[in-house]
Amino acid sequence: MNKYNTKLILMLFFGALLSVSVHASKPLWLFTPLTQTTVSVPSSGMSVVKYQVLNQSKKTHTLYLKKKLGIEQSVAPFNCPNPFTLAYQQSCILTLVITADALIGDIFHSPKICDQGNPLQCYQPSFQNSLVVTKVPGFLVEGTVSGLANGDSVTLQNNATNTLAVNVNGRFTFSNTLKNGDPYSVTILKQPVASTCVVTNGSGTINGADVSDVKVSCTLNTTILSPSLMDLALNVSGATRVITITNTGTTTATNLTLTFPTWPAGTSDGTTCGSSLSPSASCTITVTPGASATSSCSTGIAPTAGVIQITSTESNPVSINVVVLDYGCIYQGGYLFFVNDATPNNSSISGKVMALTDESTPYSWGSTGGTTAISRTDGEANSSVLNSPTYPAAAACLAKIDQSYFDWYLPAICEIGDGNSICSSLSLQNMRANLYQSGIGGLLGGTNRYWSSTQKDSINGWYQRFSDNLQEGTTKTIQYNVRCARSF
Amino acid sequence: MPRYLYSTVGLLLISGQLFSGTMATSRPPSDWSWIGALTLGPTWTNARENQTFYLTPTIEKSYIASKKNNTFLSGEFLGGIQKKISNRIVGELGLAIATTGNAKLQGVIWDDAEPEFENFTYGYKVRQTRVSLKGKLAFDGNFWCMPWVSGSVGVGFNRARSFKDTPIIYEAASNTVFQNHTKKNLVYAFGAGLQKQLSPHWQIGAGYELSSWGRSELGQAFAQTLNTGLELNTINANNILLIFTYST
Repeated sequence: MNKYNTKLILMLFFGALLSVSVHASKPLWLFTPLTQTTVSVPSSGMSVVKYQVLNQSKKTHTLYLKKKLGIEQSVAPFNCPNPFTLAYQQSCILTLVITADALIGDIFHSPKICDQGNPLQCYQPSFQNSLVVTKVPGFLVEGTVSGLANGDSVTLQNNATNTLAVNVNGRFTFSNTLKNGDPYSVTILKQPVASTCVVTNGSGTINGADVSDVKVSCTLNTTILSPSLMDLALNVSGATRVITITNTGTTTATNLTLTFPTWPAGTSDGTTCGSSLSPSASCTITVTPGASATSSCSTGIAPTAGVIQITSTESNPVSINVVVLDYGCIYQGGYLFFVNDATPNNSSISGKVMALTDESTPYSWGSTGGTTAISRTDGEANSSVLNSPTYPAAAACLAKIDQSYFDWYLPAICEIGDGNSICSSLSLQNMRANLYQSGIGGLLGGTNRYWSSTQKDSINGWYQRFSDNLQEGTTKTIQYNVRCARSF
Repeated sequence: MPRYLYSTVGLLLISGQLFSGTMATSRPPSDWSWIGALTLGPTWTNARENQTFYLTPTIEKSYIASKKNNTFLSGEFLGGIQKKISNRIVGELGLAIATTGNAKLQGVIWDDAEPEFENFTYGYKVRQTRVSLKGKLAFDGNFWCMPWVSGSVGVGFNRARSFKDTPIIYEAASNTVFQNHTKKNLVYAFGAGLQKQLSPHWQIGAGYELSSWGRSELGQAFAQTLNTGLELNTINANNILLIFTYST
């Protein structure tokens, strides 16, 4: 046998093998179930079953559903029309509406789809996917599943006995029927892998009709890192403050990483956070302020916040802005002159700031006459009493909108300075001591005087002269400068 | 099929040995006589045809026949005359009526005429009944038996029936089936063999005959609008013959 003959024989042999291998059995059109195909329908009820029908033949076929009493084809939008024509590898969704009333007995081995409706060429779903309809007495518990990921499934249970695995979004029906007056209670027996489902309208009592409004809503499992504060303000050399990070998602945050900024001198940090954080678990970050303010803001500028960055594999990064403040820092719309460091350590400091500039024109305190604005320490309370055009200085602050804040007030006499014995005995943090003395804030010295919101008597109000810390009362109708303040 | 041939020839030889001592001298009469002959024997055919055709304008199928021989019994009765034509040649002429058993034909169906959709098997039966004019010439060479040749021509009725298709996969729903149908044909046969005179009236013979049945055809199925049912354009059958002849 020469070489050529050997090749020829090998070619014929493999050719024969190939010709045998292409012989196979598979349906011309394939049914893939999109819903459960074994359904129980109560005598007066309905059910919907869906298949995707795919033409596997290279020939185009025009297909008809073989008629069967009680089974109608829905031709609503996005469903197969009737008839439907499918070219090679084309598919559509065959929606069957089953009306138990019209069924003659139970249904098995359906539906059949025939080329041009001709009984010479019909196909049906596989045995496992056959439509099996059982008419049952009683009432059904039905509902819808939404949000389920492709390929995932949720296992439901009714009354702790009737179990149903659902693997596609859409309608579901429990196989067991209930009598009128029976209770029903739908619960999640097994959660999906990729999502978490909750049941609404899941329990009640059968009241003469099927229950169809049970909702199972699934949401994809997430990791959400939720800090207790997005912005933290601390006082120089003040209290250590704590930020709590909680995983409010449904899956563990892994590769948890905290990145701290370059702190101002003396400020330090600490954390209890590890490399992962389970759902609902928390960890903390502590910041202990040193003697230096952030970006030397005490010179009368706004601080550039340090940023703590928190990242994990599963979540978006989270940023927390931290500032260490001192008198003179521009914060919350004004110059910081009053700090309350006694706030809870899981929050920022509180305090008071002075407006960045004087009001544009001098104002009188008001007309002669007594008021209750007599607090020497609480300008906010005084101003609320003086909220009327009758008291122009206070009214100017109350009407002020600046740096996006609109809660300005005319400060009380001891918030401005401590020149008289009453204020000096109170040792209240004030604008003169903490700002004017440092040359911050543009307060006018010399003989310039500023109204406070504190009334001395029915004729006089208290004013402040910054240059020599004079605090005295004078006639309310005189016009002096006004510098507003606000608290945060 | 050789085993049928061997066993039949063997039977003829044995019968020749048994009867040779007492009846070997008997010869056919020189004048004509009436004869009646009964023929029995196995028949086989390997008739098969692959067919692809449209049953409707949109439904096309291929019917792929399987390669399998069919064997069944056949029988024939012949009535006629026998006459010595010359010193050595004896002739027979008569009318023969024959019937056969069922040739069972089967195969697979390709939907859309594509081998990847081999989704059904099928089977049906064909049998023949025929009436023919049959002639036979036997050579008397004073041997212990006489060789003969035969030929016949006539009308045959091929009955195709009991078509059935069976899904190979569950998804393939059963179809309506082709109807039974009888097809009339011109039929003919040629044969050869040996025969032995057992007594003045009885002869026994054996031989082989090739017969042409003509065509067979199934009827249309319900809802079929194009073409007929499955056809066989040529059925050739092989027959082993065991012949019992009585002459007056």
